Amino acid sequence: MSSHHESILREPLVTGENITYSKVTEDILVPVENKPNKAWWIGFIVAVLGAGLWVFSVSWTFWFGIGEWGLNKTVGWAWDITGFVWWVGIGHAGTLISAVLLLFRQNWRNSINRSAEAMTIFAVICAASYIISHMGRPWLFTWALPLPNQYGSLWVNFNSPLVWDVFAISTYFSVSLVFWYTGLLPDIATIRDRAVGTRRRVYSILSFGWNGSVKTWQRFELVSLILAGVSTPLVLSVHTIVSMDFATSLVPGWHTTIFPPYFVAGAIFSGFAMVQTLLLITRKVMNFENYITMFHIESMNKIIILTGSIVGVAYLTELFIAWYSGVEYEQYAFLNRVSGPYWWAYWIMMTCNVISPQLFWIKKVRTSIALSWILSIVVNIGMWFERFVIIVTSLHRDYLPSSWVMFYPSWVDVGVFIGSIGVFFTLFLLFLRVLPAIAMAEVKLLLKSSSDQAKKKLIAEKAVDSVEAEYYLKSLEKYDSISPKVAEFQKV
Amino acid sequence: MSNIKYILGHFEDPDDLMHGIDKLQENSVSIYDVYTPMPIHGIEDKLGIKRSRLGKVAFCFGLTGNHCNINDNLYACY
Repeated sequence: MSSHHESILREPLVTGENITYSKVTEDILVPVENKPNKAWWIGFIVAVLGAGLWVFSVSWTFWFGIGEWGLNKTVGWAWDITGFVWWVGIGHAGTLISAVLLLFRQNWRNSINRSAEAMTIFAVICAASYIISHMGRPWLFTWALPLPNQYGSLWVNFNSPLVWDVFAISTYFSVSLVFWYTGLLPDIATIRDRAVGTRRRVYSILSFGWNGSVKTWQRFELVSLILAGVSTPLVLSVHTIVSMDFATSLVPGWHTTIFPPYFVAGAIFSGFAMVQTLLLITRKVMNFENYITMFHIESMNKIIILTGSIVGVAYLTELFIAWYSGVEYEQYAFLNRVSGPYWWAYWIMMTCNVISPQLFWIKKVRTSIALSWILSIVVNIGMWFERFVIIVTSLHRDYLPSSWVMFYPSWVDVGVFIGSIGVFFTLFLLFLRVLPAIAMAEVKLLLKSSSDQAKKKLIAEKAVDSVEAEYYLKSLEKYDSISPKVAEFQKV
Repeated sequence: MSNIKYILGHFEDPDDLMHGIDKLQENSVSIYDVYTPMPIHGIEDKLGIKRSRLGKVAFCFGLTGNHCNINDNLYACY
């Protein structure tokens, strides 16, 4: 049947009264079919200025070389790889939402997967740009690929995780892009059907002739499932390989076996924080409160608290194992992290990633939009510091005390980092203007089973147990898109 | 002039649509196609559309790719 049965106890995924299939289309296409508002323009101008800074700083790097960064003989990786790992990590939430939650039939993914996947793609673009910049001679980037060549039998070093990373990131990017675009096809076709003139022609080409017949939907669902199957291992493998960039080295503080799971948890943690940062604003500015509801926000906060706690356990395990191993270099690396000259970075990391997300155990905090947003920013900052701590504190005091130094970023380092945030937001804001930020077809699928109005109808028909109905109505109290008075009235 | 007649049905609700399909089929009216704004499970069975072989094909491609990759890798290493 068109709609599966859903227990009344489950909280609604779509709120609002008189939501019809056409209203879903109307609501979601408002930003796409109308001129942008002031808030969008202000955001866009700031983002483009940031992107301009990025172009300038990256061009500067290419022209004068990596010597323009703050790197020195001892600290050969710093803000560049910190930024790379940070962005790749952020991307993971999108893939988890679109792939893993699809396989687990978590319907709440339906209204957030589109923007989260867009975020993944833009974050991976930012991450990849760091890798290219870091090469120093970016025009030789093809040397990272195992291409037949005339240098004798010279191949890339297949034993190096840096080469695995080239494969991991490029696979990740292409699979994410295909997954995102496949999901977009029906929605692009909807825009096409409503547009006129050149717009219609453009969206017509982009929609690949989608017509919504039975066969197209059958194929669509199968392809989504296959791509979800392909993407799911990527959620785990990409950041595992990123962690191996460190874990396979002999640097104290890096060569630990817990790195892969610890990095994957951290990636999902930071990714969900970035999804919150983006969506809490988007839903407000674009009036998507009925589609991205408090249930979505709370669910994501629960994932943040889970993954944040895994990360916390990993931090403590690292400390314990460093002590327990009896290796004095390892012990010193961690002692230096906690109490050395970079103690402040370590404790910012600890506070932002482990301590403050624990506030989400309190229901009032995790259902507060303002606090969720602030904590999401805190997590973003914390996860940047995590990578900085891992990379710089391990490198700056090596085996030879005479080469011990501190790392000071140059303006180019700062420019590339701030600039990459600008690039990310420029792409994201453009995306909001030209493509539907919520998967319309997938939300329509929920309308008959998981929407507040469908559930209220069942209650009105007395088709459900009254105790369960009361439980349901009580759960609506936290929703900001259902006014408390209405909820109170309906309860009576 | 062909004497095949076409009827176009318009449904507001997916449940009505499914019901409509059943009714038409009971009356031996063959259905050309159904266009919907979202995937509606069960139509493909009613219209007798076979399961796509794409899944199996994708699996074979995966095997082939994996095989070639390991082969290439071994070739490059030794």
